[in-house]
Amino acid sequence: MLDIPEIDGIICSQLPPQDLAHCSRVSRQWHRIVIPYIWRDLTQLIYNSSSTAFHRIVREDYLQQQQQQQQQQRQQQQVVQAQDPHRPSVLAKYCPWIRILPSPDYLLKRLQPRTIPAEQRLGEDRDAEPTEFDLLRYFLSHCSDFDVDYLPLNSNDYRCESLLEITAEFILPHVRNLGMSYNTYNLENMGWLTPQKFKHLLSRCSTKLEKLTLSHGARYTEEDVDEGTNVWEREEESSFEPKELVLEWYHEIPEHSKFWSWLWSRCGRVERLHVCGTEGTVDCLANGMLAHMPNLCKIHLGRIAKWIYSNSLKDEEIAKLLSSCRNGWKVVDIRHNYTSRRASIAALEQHYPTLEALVVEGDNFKSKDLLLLLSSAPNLRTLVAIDDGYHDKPPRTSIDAAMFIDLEPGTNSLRPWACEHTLKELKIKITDIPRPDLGDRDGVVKEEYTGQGKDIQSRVYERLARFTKLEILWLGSSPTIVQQSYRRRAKREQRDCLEMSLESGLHKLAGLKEMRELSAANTNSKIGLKEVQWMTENWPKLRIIRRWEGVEKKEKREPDSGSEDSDESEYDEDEDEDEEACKEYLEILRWSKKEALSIAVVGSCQHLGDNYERL
Amino acid sequence: MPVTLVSLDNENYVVDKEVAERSILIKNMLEDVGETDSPIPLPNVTSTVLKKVIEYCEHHRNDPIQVPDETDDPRKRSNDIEEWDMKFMQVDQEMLFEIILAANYLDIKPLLDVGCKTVANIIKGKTPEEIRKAFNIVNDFTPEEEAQIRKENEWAEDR
Repeated sequence: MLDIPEIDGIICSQLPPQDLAHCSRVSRQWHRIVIPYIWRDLTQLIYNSSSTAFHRIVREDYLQQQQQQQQQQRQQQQVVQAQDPHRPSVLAKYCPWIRILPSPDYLLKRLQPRTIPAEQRLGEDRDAEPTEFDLLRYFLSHCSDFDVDYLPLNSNDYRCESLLEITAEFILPHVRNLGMSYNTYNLENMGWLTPQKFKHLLSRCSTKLEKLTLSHGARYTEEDVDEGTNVWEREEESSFEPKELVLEWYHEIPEHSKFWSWLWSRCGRVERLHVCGTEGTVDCLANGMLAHMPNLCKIHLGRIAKWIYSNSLKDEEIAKLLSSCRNGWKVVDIRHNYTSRRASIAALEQHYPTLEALVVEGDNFKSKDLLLLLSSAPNLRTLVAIDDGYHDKPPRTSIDAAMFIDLEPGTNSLRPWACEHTLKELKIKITDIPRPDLGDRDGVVKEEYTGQGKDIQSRVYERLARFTKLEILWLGSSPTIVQQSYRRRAKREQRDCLEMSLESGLHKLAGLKEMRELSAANTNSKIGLKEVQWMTENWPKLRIIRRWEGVEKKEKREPDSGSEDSDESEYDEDEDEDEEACKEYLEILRWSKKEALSIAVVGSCQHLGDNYERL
Repeated sequence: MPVTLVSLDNENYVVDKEVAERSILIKNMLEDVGETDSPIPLPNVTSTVLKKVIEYCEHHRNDPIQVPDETDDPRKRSNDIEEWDMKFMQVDQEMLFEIILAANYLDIKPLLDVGCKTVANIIKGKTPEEIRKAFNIVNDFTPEEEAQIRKENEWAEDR
């Protein structure tokens, strides 16, 4: 160690806790340098759950402090005794270095009384043995400058009122992201958790709180009515003002209206609102948004993820919420909402002047809706109309090529679009492109005249080339789909898509100098070695090309035992294509390795087996 | 365009601009001054160390500039020192620390990282006594103090 903070910091961050503990015993100087790094992050306690060392130091420190208090009392009572030398508290020395804590529930478990060796046991006086609650309270009272990045409270935490009180007193003021949820089947455990208690708990949060997730968890019982009437008027000292509010389950019943009004009044700083599911109306929320959330500009409506169940929002509810923004939406995400229909799309259109990012998925957003958006939103930076996360279905939102080309009526030139010089990220499925090169197969669109496919492709490239700031372009569907279900790939691969070959007009995209990422996964595109070479020459910032996920080698395929006969022919064709794509992929890999390219050509290498090993 | 670097002991080293600009300090200086022939004084670096640093920069002249990656956990990167760098760092300890100090002063992040990793690798798996020997440190704890510190931090050691 050099006693230069930046350098020692880098060295210490390279060392696991055991080595840091060794360093702390080397010398006084080393001790001073490494202690902050040993105590910084207590989540490491999770990795040695059998150790009793943590319990021991907290317990000893607690008992020592109790003893000293008793001595002081005796001194005050003029009882003269031989005095123990005053030992400083270990926790007082080290806890100020703590910055990251694990969940209170976990700490409590680690502080449960363990088998204490006989010689250390506290004689007959069993009451003097501290409980885990005593120890947790004592320990936390020494920590003052820590952050809890994420604290999810759920039914188990509510069951234990004393833990929740300790959490409220010592931990909530330090939480950045708080989640309060409950499961309906545990309701009987939390009769005491009334809207008033909810308010009391939330009031302990400080300005540190950035994000609040509520799964409507307040239960209202008759008894609370009397004791609670004044709670809402009483101004408790609370300074929390989250920037982000997530309502996992929003249920507007009259008895809760006071709680919600109180909550909205603390939402002056909220910029992002996420409503996952509702029951009943959303009037109170919509009024709250208009009256109390002047900074609101980002909204996410619908499930957090596709596989998480929650009630869908109805079309009118979405429309109502989308209409309740004072200064116009900048970011709208209605990804997992399959009920967004005309009313909500009409409400959204009002916000095209301010809209910067839109994420949609579902079959309600039609070609003409996408066209209106792209042609009229002057600030649009991101359009994601492909589920770019985990997904098991091909995208249902798409735009047909003729709409995407969008010719000026009566002329042969492309109509100018409002977002041509702002759009940075475009993830979209473009359909209806004839591909005579793919023969007469499912999903291939027929040409009306010979050469129509080439003409359309050329125009689509022309349109894409107008997005001069484009950084990310995904065509087709999410690359993760293939890995989900290889067997039905034949039905999923898009065949009315762009070829992405130089012959088909790829060179028209030479002006997209900002391009960082291209994906043509799950499309029948023809990106070969010369296309990859062209891209690396023309797009200096290119880092990722995705195309070859799910491309398989014949001999790697499992024997097809139980599959339906009708699929057989389809598979055979695919295999030939796969063979070709695989060869192509290997060739590209070899080349990119030789050139030491800094781009990642992404494919699923595990299927390439021996060939890849040889590279 | 070549750049002239002048060490503490007044030795001149002429290197390519591309090599010199591995040092963010020098890069910024050159940007501020613009095109210049005048030598750049580096009053904190001796010629033996500067020679070594230039050797590193020459070898890494074509590396992409490091982009800080937030997802990158520093604890997980420890062992991945390239072979060339490993050999390059096989120097006596005084030199090792001089290189680290120079990398810090000249703002050459990859060299600083490699230097610190090398120090961390020396520490790893050693007992306190072995660490003292390795770095020639005098133990200024009493046996009682050392035992107490061991006890206090045992929770981190135990696994």
